[in-house]
Amino acid sequence: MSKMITIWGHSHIAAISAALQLVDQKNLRLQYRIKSGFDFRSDGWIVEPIDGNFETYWLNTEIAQWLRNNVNEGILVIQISGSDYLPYGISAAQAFDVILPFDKTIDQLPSLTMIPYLELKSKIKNVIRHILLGIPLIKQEINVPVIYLETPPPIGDNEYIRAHPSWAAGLMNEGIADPLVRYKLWRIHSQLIQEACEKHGVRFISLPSSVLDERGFLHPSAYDGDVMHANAWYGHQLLSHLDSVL
Amino acid sequence: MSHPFKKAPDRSFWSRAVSGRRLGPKDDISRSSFKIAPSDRVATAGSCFAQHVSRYLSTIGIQPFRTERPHQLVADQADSYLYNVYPARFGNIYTARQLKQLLLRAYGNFKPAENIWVSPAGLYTDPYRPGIPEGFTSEEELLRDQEQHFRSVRKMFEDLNVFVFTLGLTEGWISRKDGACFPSCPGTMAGQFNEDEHAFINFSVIEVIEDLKDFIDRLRDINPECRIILTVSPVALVATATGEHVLVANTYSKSVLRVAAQEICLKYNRVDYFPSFEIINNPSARGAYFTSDSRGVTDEGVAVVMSTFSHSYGLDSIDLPLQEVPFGSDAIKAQDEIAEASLQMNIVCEELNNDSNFDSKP
Repeated sequence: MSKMITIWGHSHIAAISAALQLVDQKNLRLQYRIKSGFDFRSDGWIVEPIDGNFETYWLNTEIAQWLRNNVNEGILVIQISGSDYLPYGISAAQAFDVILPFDKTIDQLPSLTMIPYLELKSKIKNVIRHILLGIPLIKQEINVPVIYLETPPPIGDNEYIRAHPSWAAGLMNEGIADPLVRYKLWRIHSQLIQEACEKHGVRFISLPSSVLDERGFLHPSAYDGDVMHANAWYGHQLLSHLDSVL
Repeated sequence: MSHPFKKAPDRSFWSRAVSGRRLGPKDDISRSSFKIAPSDRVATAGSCFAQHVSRYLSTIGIQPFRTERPHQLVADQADSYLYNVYPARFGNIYTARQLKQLLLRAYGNFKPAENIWVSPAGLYTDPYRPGIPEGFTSEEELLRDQEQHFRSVRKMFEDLNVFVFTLGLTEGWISRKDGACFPSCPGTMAGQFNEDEHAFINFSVIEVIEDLKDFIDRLRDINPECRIILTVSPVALVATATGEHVLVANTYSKSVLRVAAQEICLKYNRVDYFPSFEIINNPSARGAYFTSDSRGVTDEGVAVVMSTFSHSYGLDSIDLPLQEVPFGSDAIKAQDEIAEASLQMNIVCEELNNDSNFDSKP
């Protein structure tokens, strides 16, 4: 019997769901099931602050219960942070530059105000704090390996974003930021998740190069008609990737 | 028999002007040669006492003048990263030499040989802004932030209407290579102290006067109409490197700064001295404005200073929490309570790192 892979995440796992509907799962080496984070109550953090400021907290009780009752075999693949960074990288009026210490090859945007890396990292860390705090608690809650699958990169084509604004329409009144702003934010976001995973013994799986364009943005073949989500083609690439690395 | 004292006003006589009086706005202690309008751009700089001045300006009707703000994306973290303390993110400026060099550096007229400190952890610190938490992750990033900073400093000097500078210290640390003056001793907050590269300096009154003159002349070249207020911080030295008793060293330091301020005011038009030092150190206040360590200034003390400042320069008055401070054991209790409240104000003070025993946390 093939290994059961439970994939839990938010909107980005819809691409994998869509891909699974298009393939005969019998042809896959691994067996997959999807758990949408939207099944949990909508106001739920991954961890719930007890004192209101995350000094003391515990794993969201609904999530903890689901994990205990349902994830007892195989591997748990999570993608519980979405594109939380993205709203900060859309508006041209709020555009900025940052120099990433872990990748000096990325171009700078000298005409924009530079935010020092550690200040920006602290900001994004705060935005996804409940997820970073939740990673070790999820691991502790179950007895199967936990793997974190990197979230999709941003779309590099501003024209596509302009034509498919969805929730970001209100952020585009003064133009759209240079795509590199979004790209750098995504890299910081991934770096934070990866650091938390390494710290707590959770394997972090980077995206396969097939879903990236030559600059590292989401491959145009993966666009799904809005500012951030990927389609079934992308999901299929990820399934193939998981099949090869798990 | 007639003599000059016969016609002197009450303010000239200790018995009538000081004895038994805790001086405030109605005591005619400050002589201003100009007024400040609420619309004026008032820039503050100086030692940690200047932060009190900066924070209180809004309570007397002056909008904070900021030329260096955090990017709006990280604005909620501004207080943690040394923004919103002064108009630009330069941190405390303790000596007149530091102030002069800030202006020179901002306009590219002085490029210190020692411009970057690297920590063992690989983080980069601006030696002239060691108070920026965490520092920077590369030389390139630090230099770009310096560039942005200098742009903001230039804007501050060019656009300000009034510059309030609090003279804090005469003791400082300089580079032996080119005299670059650091806000804190290398090795205390960041960097590494090296006797071959760093030297202690205790500025003389002549040196302080010359530095202030040079600064004012250059500032007036850029901004001819600016008005300047000098004040001396009543906050005592945390530590002295002279080998003297710290109380003796403190008296020297404050005396030099006070004399220098006086000399400058006599020489220049539209440069005033404001007596913060005297209001807080007034013997009749019997130490009531000092926190329990006899060094820091209580919130009440700051309020009295700022209320007097406001009155002198024609600004809004502020309600003072003025109460008679009891003496004896009750006084100690009251002072401890005030000290605790003052510590809550979270003043950034690089100098505290000179005393490794000092616990800055309440």
